[in-house]
Order: sequence, then structure tokens, then C-alpha cells
Amino acid sequence: MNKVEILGTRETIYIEHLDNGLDIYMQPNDKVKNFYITLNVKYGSIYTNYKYNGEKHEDPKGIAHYLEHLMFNMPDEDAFEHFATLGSSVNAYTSNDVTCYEVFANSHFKENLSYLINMVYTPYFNKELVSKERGIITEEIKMYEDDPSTNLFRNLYENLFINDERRYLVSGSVDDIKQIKSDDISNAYKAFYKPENMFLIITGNFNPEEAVAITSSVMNNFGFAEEDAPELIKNNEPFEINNEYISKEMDVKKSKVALAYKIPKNNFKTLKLSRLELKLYLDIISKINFGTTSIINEELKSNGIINKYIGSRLEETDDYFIQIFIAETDYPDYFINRIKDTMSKLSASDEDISRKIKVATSNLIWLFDNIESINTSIQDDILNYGTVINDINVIYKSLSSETAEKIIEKLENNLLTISVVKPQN
Amino acid sequence: MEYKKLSLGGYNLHLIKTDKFKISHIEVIFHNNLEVEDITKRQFLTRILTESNKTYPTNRKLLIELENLYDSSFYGQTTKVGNSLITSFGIDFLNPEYADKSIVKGCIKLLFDMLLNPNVNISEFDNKTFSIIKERVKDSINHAIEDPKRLSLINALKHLGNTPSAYNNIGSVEQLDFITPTNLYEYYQKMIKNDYIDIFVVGNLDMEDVTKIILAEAKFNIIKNHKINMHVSNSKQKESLYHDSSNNFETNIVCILNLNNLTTYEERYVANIYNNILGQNSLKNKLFQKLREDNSLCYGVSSFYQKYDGLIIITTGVDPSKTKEAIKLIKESLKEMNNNITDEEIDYAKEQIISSLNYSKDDMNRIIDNYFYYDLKEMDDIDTRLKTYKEVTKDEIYALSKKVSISIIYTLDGGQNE
Repeated sequence: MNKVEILGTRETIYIEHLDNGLDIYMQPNDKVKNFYITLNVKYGSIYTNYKYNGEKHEDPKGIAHYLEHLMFNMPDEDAFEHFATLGSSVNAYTSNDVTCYEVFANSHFKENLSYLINMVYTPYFNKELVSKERGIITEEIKMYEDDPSTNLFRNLYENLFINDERRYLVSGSVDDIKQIKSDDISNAYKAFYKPENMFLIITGNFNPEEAVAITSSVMNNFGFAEEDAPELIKNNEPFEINNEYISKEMDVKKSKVALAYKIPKNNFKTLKLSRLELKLYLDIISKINFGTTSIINEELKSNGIINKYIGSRLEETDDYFIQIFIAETDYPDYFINRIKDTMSKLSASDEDISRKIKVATSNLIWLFDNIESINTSIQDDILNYGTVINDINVIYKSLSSETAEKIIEKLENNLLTISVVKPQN
Repeated sequence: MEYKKLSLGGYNLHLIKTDKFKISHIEVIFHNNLEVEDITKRQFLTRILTESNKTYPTNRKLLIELENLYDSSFYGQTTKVGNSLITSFGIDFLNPEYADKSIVKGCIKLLFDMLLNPNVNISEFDNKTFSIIKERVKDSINHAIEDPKRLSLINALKHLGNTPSAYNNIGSVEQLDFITPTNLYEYYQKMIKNDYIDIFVVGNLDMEDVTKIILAEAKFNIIKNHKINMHVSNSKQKESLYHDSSNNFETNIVCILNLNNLTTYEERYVANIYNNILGQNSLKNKLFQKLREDNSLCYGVSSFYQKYDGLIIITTGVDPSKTKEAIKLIKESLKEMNNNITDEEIDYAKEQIISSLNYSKDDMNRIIDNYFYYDLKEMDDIDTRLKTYKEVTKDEIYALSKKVSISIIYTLDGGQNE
């Protein structure tokens, strides 16, 4: 078993690679009573076009999410019922790039881990179950359709991306899921739910050796064929957007505004920074200039344009960084102009950078106090970098205002899409 | 975990030493009887006290100081619990071994400075800050109204009539208009003077040292002697149906159940198990089974138990054409609670509750809750609770189900979009 020390935290992550291809990441913590297990499939809503066993598949949207719902059916019982007997909390979610099955509990470690693995490696769905689940998913989609924030982001992504599958809802639309057939779901399961395309993360109170032994033993009951992994067919995403601005009227009191900058990674090629370094710089630059301690945040608050803070998040695709800003305001046009203006005058002083580094390195220690947060952080590392990042503290401490300035220079000429949800007239 | 309580006249200091966490937490809890017209004011006050103060006159200055203190976090919240209001202000900070020793004193001083040195000019809150916070409170009220689930719950509760349970926790825009920088400051003084105050410290800290710093900073000297009654007695009502229309895709259903004349034992234990079997057990309960699993009517359905209000509230969202069917199934589920509960369902409920109690030992806020409510004599200690839940019988659950009655069925009708 490999042990990776996370620098600056006095914590270690244990890693085991099983012969069947599954990777296991573990962060034991005997001071707490709970444990949190996630079994992750590198398969999310954006994987609709792929080649598998020599065949090309072009799936309807929403299959990854549909499949996630169906996995709780077992031949002899309902998985929810089984977990209920153990007093555990079980759930699952699907995002753009992952399907994750999760169990949270504080007793019956062996039973919980075994059953989760059994459940995910026992596909059991027939036409009747597929049809029953369609009704439930339809209600889930309708629930989100009534939500203004979901509408804000759906419109944003639809306009920001030309070909990238992120422009569609993770669940698919009601019309999309009407087209999904049992065979589509079975094919997707066969292609993606394989140990080498999955990873297990366990955090909290457990013994790593025992966890590995249980996992190996349960997985030995399944025959995993040696096949090539599915090959994703990616759509080339051009440096274009569909529309600069889209608005929708809904039953809201205040406008909700989202701005998304599409920033090509190619812009930074000459700086010779790693993807992670670049991401940390962009994140820190954004926090300095738009975060809760930024001048613009204070200015917009004191002028009554916003009343809390500017929300921001940095996302990443293969070729682009996406910097998003959101707010609620009665003055959407003014807000948009001030964000645009600030984007053209970014700065990052030594003092700001060193304070933000202090914040980031402190947050890393905070992460380990929460077995769910640390599990999610490991998941992020694996999905984005294929490995556990153990030296992020060192990278943070190497960030400098000189390099930040060079990055700022290259942040010009990006594309911008704006989505607004407005009150009804 | 070592627990020690010091009664210091104006407040109680609870020290909980544990090495479970890499961070420490200090919380000041203000607690008093509810006056319904004060809910909005209390929410306003909570926000304005966490925004800025005399030392940090803007939120930006406060947040920069917190970042310098290794990104410590300072926050406040107010909740309505039955017939009482509980307002807490907390600060979380890295244990000194991960930062430096001065962090403890720095954070404690900041916490009490924020509470005792507000951004006040003569006898009113700073006008600029007041305007920002007023808008923020208004937004949070409007937010609740934008969310069909929360709106349906707010509307349903209003039909309970003249009872504290009919009021939501967030306040109202109407009440907001009566709040001024001056009367808010008067209300602040009233809270400091009249509320019971409990200070909790959780973490791996030198508690002697912490006590000394708190004694110097926590200048709450007034001894209180009035009685607090958290319980609302909601009398049984005849079942009534109410509805409003909306432009939503879904119809949101809220069903309010009265729990009539429960004994303390039923209220603390049996009702929790009853609710768990009915609609709270994660993904396996009667409502979930009937509405979602057997009939694919909804994505989510659940019930929650409002112990101090003597209510259980069921919520779900369904296609508008399925509203009647959903209500029929809710009633069928309730009927099953009278005479058709399996031993397995009881075991699941107990496992779930015990698991949640065990979980609470790993969560700072719930550790505080456990001691706070025990200290108020509203809860048994955690070991007694673990033991007593195991002993609840099926007959006791059936006996309780006879005391459950539907008072309100409310629907926020959707479907006008289609």
C-alpha cells in the first residue's frame, strides 16, 4: 500500500491499486466515529459519444443520471431497504464527469462497504423498472425547471458552449429521457462500470488494510472481462459563443445575473506553468479582485447594487477555463459593466497574494476536519489530475505577484456570455 | 471529551475539551421567549452584528482581519424553536498548533468585540450598514417566496391561525418596514440585557487560559430569572383543505399533522420513531415507498417533526394532475401507521436515529446542541437517549398514532405553464 503525506497537514492518504484495476484512496481518522465511502465512476453526463468494442455510440442525453437512479434496484431486494437495516445514509449523484455512489455511517463498516460494491457491480433493471424510474426522474426535472437558479445556469451554459456537452442538463430534458431505452442504459453500464474506470474513496473511522481486504474479497465474486476502456469521442469546442446575452422572465423579486468568461488555456502556453499552478493563480486573482475582501465587492455593496457578495467560481474544460461571476441585483446592467470594467483592470499585490496563500493553506487543514470534504477533495484530484496532489501547500507558497501580473496580461480578449433571470413585468 | 460548566451570573460558560478536531469553536447563544413581532428584528440584528462594528466599520475590514487570523470564520444565526428564539454567534479558528498561539486570544477578542462594540452612532446603528442589511433581509424573505417548496410551507403554516407555529423563521417584509436604526439599537440592548446567555467552547485548547480571556471579554453581568417555555400547545383542528395557484410546473403539497396531548416520553422518543417510519428515514419510509417507489409520483417526499410545536409536517411535489392521488396516498400511509407497522420498519427507524445520535458526536454544532438542550432539561443526555430509543415498542407507536390528526392540507397548485 502506498502512503502519501499531504504536506503541511500532518495527514496521510493510503493508496492501493487492485489487480482488477480499481484504485482505492483512504484517509483514516480514528478520532471520529463516522466513515464515508464513495464509489466513483468516471462517467458523467458529458459522455454521450464514445467508441466501445469497436462500435460507435451516440446516446440520448441523461443516461448517466438515469443509470444512477436504477442502480439501487437489486434482484432480491431494494438496496435502500438494505442500507436502512444498517442505519446508514446512502445516496448518489451524477455530474458532468462523474457518477458517485455514497454511504455515510458509523457502524457495520464491512456490511456497508460490501453492499455498496455489490450493488454497483450488480446491474439489475428491466423494462418495468426503467419505466417506473422515468416518472420519478420526470418529476425531478420539473422540480428543477421551477427553480430560477437552474434556469440561470442552463441558459448560461447553452450560450457559452457550442459543442461541449456541458451545455445540456445533467439529467437531460423530459423529452430526452423519453427517448432512453433499456438497451442504451445496459450498453452504457457495460462500457463504463468497470473497475479500471472507477475508484473508491474511504474517509473517517476504519482500518485501511481491512478495507482493502473486504473490497478485494467482494470484487473477487465478480468476473471482470479484460476489455479496452471506452474511447470518448470529444467534440472540438471552438473559441466562440452562441449568444452574448440571454434573459428570461420568472417569478423572482430581484434579477439574477451570471457572467461567464471563456478563457482559452492556449493563452498561457508561453508561461510554462502546470495546469494546477495556472488554476491556483487564476483562482487567487479572482478572489483578490472579486472576492469578499475585494474593493469592487465593497463598492457594489455600499452603493446598494448588491447586498451580499459577488459569487464566483472557476471551472475547467479540456481547452478552456471558465470564470463565472454571479449576483442578485436590481441593477443588472450596472453590475455587468462594473464586472467588465474590473476584469480590464485586474491586479494582485504581494500583500494580497500572501494573505490569500495564508487563507488557502489554512483551508487545506480545515478540510481534514470533515470526512465528506476530504473525500470530495480526493475525488476532485483524481478526476482532474489522475492522482492525489500532496504538495499543494508548496505550490501555493511558490506563487508570486510577478507571475500573477504576467497571467493578468494574458487575460485580455476573452469571450463573455451573460445570462439574466428577471422579474416578470 | 471533558465537559465542565461554570455558572458566572450573567452567563454560563460550557467548556468541552476534545482533540477530535483541527479547529476550535466558540459560540455565544442568546435565548429567550418568542414575541412574534420580533422575528424579523432578530434576524436583522443577527445580520447587522456580523457585518461590521466600531473596530471594523466595514465588512471588508472585518473579513481581511479574519483572513489574517488564518481564515477564521465568524457568523451568526437565529432560529425559532417552538415558542422561543435562539440566536447564536460563533467563531471557528485553526488550533494554535497549526497557526500560532495568539490566534486564540485574537479570535476570542474579535468575537466579543463584535457583540459588545456594535457599529452605533450615539443611539442608532450606522445608517449605511443599516440600509445594506435591510436590503439583505428583504432578499432573504423574497428568496423563500421564490422557492415553491418553502413558499408552500410558509403558506400552509399561516393557516394554523393564532399560534407562534404559524410564523416562519425568516420574518416578513411588512415587519421590516417598522424597523429603524434607533429601535433596532434599543432591541439590541434589550437582547443583551434580557436574554439568557450561554457560551460554549469546543476544542483542543488550554481551557484555563480560554476561561481567563473570556472572563475579561464577556461583559454580560445581568442575572435573569424569568421562565422560558419553549413548547407551543397547538390544539387539534378539524381537517381543512387550502390551496393557492402558481405558474410552477409542479404542485407542492404540504400536510400538517397535530400531535395531541403527548407525554414527555412520547414527545422525546416515540414521536421521533413514528416520524422516522412515516417519512424521515433516509430513502426508506412509508411515504417514500407509496408515493415514489410504488407509484412514481414524485422525486422527493418527506416528513419532519417539530417537537416544540407538536407538529409533523409532510412535504412533496407532484405533477398537478396527480395531486388528489398523492393526498390519497399520504392518508393511506397515515392509516398504516395506526396498525400496520412491521418490526423491520421499527428496527430501521431505531438504527437510523441511533446512527444520527452517534454522528452528532463528530459534529461541533450538534455537540453543543446536545449539551445545550440537556442543560435546559429539554433532552436527556446522549447515553440515556441511545438506550431509551432502543426500548420503544410497537404498541407505544400505535398508541401515539391515535394522537395524530391531520389539521391542514395545503397545495400550491402548478400546471399553468403547460
